[in-house]
Amino acid sequence: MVDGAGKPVAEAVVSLHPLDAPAPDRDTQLHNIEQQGLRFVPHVSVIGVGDQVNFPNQDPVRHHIYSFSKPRPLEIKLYSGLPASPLDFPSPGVVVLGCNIHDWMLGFILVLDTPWWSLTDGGGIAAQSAAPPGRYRVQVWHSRQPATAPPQTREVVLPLAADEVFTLQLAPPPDLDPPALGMGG
Amino acid sequence: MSFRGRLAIALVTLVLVAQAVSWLAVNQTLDENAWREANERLSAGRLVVEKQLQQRSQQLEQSARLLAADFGFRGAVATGDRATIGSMAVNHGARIGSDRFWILDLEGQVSFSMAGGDDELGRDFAKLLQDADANGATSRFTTIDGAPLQVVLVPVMAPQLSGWAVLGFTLDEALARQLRELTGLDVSIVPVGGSDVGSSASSSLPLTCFAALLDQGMPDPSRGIIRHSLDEHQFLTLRNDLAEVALLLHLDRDGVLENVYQLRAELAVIAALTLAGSLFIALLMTRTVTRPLQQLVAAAKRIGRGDYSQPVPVERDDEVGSLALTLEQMRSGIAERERTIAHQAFHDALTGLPNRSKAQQELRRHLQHASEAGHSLALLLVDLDRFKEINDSLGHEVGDQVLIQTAKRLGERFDEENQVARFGGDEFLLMLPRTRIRQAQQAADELVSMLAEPLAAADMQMLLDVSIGIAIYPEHGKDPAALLARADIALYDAKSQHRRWSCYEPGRDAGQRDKLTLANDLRGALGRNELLLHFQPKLDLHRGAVSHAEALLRWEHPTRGFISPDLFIPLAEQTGRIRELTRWVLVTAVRQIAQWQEGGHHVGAAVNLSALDLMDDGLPELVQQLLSQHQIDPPLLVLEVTESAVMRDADYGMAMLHRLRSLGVKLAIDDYGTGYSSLSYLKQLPVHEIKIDKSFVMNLTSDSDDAVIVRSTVELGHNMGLKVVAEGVENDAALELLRRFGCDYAQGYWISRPLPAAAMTQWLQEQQPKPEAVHA
Ligand SMILES: [Cu+2]
Repeated sequence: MVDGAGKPVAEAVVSLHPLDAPAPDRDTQLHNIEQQGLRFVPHVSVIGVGDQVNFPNQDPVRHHIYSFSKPRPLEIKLYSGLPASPLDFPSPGVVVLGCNIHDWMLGFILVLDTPWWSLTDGGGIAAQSAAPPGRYRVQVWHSRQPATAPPQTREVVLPLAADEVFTLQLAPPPDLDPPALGMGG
Repeated sequence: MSFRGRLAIALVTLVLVAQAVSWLAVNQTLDENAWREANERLSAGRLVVEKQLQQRSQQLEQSARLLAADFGFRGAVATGDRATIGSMAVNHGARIGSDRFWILDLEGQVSFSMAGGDDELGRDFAKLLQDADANGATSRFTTIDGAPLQVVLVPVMAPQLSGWAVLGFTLDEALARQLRELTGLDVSIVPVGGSDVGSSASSSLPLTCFAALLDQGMPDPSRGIIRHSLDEHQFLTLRNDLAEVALLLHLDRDGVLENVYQLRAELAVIAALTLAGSLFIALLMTRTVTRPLQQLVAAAKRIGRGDYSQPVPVERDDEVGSLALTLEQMRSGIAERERTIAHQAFHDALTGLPNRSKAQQELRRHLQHASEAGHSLALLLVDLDRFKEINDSLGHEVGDQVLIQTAKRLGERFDEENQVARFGGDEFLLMLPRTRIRQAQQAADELVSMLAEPLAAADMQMLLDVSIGIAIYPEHGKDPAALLARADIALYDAKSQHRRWSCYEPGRDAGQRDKLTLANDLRGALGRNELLLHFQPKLDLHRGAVSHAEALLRWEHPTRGFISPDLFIPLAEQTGRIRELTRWVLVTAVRQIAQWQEGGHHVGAAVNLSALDLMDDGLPELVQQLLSQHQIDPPLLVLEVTESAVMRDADYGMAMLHRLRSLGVKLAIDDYGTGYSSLSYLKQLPVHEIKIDKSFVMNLTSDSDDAVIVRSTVELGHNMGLKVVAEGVENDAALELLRRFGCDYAQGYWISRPLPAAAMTQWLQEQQPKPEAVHA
């Protein structure tokens, strides 16, 4: 996985979507995306379709988190502590999280309909060994890729004859530091 | 041109030039001020406009950011909820006054336009997006479809960039008006480089002016402020380009210059007043400079006309003053010379008194005054008695001294108003204004006594007698000639009557005329045998016999009868006829002596000689001839002269007496006592006897003073070896007294009145037998 300059890109989500058979069922899971230090932690979460996510607020201030993303628009108004109930994410896609109070807060939830995905490492390498052989659609997504650009996809047949190379056009990393903290740091 | 005129023009020109220069300077300053003010106003206007637009821009941006931060809006944009976007845009736009609104998608394409319409969608705001700053926002003056617009672009984050919101203000006429409100300048907003500028440009200018501006085309921005005329209005315009929009600020030149015009009008008034004042002062100056010159010119003209009386005004220290001084010195010099000349012409050199012609001039003047004022005027003609004698006997220098002293006395006595003039050789004329007869007589008395004071001349004390003739205006005459003639008559009367003064008596003119005809008649009297001799016997008191008879001339006028010798003898003297008469008397008298001798009477004759006779050189020869012709004993002829006749020309008279005496005739001093001869002088006269004046003798018996005089005179005469004759014996007592005094001869009515020759002869015969009676 390299960027426009040919450098390796880390933390890109590479997922395999079977073309000949449905993806295997799996148990729904509960994820936590905390608001800590006026940030979404983790910045990027990858969950399966049907999973539930809790948004515990660890900060002493209130947050008003929202998303206008089509897979799962959401809005949790001015809460502190743990919201009443976790939210479920029934559709695959990218859900961009924001806070109406703190504009710099940005988080991503990638909802996948496949269990086979991995993150590129520091060398930009992602490996997948769990998926059975067959035809797959490979999808590459990165949080810094332009909003207008849909995730890159490519058909591959497993096992791979050779390494697939993806080139991504990435925006510069967003400034996720709260202004006050940033100013303090 | 006159000096004054040239001076005035020079001064006025100077004033005009100074005014013009100051006017130009002030005007230029005004223009500069106006230009600077225009500049300042335009520059300030530009700042205001820029600031205003910037404010709008900020306001717009803030508003846009606010909108973009709105949760609902973000959601609407992120989800492409056009209905919501539209409603919010309307709501928001109305709030901030934005009238244009677009939403751009992430590609930069218009995904929503408030104006609606499909052509709006897909519009490219790429240029605007390029300018977007780090925050993704920008503002810009641009044109949309040729229309000038101020737009703001802000990103819509939801929370990632979801698109852009673009808000726009139309730069329209309302804005232009608003800016004009703020700046006081007209504002035009014109898109740059558009093809159809006219439809999209807007302005606060009046339509016609704006149309003219669009017709002219846009001014070059590099030229700064330009002046141009828009629909006959003058404007100063500053162009300021903001991206694709040109902002034009217009300053109404008339508005700016209004103050200048007003100031200029005030200045014009001030300048006019100053000019008028300056002109007035200039004229005044030329007047003060040239007036002395004009005065000098006037003075010089006066001098040129011969009027030297008015002094030239000298009031200054400068060149004009010294010129005036020189002129004044010239004038006074000429005036002095003229006075001297006039004085010499009208004054007597010897006494300094006005001369005859001046006196006549003055007399006319006095008469003029007197007639105008109704005053009187007295004329006193003063004559020095026996002045000729003084002149002849003591010399002209003494005579001159006498005149000078007399003039001095008269001058001291009479002031300027009462004028004294030397009227003739020894005549002075006095003019006494406001003097009537009585006062004139008093003045004459005063004069007589004053002039009788002894006079010092040539180391001698002299006694002077004067005769004065008085004539009064208007009683005695109205014109100078008549008055002078009458004063002369009065003077003549005084002299002939032996009075000190005489006033003219009306009617004397007739007498004077008589005298003239008489003098004429006298001329032929001898030829017509109208003259004859009377004889008055002179009794020898010692012998008791008549020794002589005084021959007295009588004139039997054919129409007027007997004429008094007192009247015609002076006439004869005056007319020079006296010598002729005296010669006739001598001839006749000597012949009579001869006749008496033939008749047995040894009686001589006495003949009176006048002063003129004493000057008759041929007289001794005649006497000699007559005596020898008739064989007469010389002592029988007595020649009588008065002292004054001798003194008329003392030297000559003395010489004549000596010549006559040498002939053997007897000489007598007649009218002794009336003259002034000193005894010592009398002693020198070669005479044999003196005749005491009858005035002493007539009152001899009644007046003891006269008796003393007669007696002492007799004694004195005898002491000097002279016989003494008394005239005017009118009574026996007087005769007796004279006899007692030792008087030698007596003559008078008591003895006999003057008788014609025949009667005298008769009387002589009658007297012979009665000498006793005479003794008794
Ligand atoms: Cu928050």
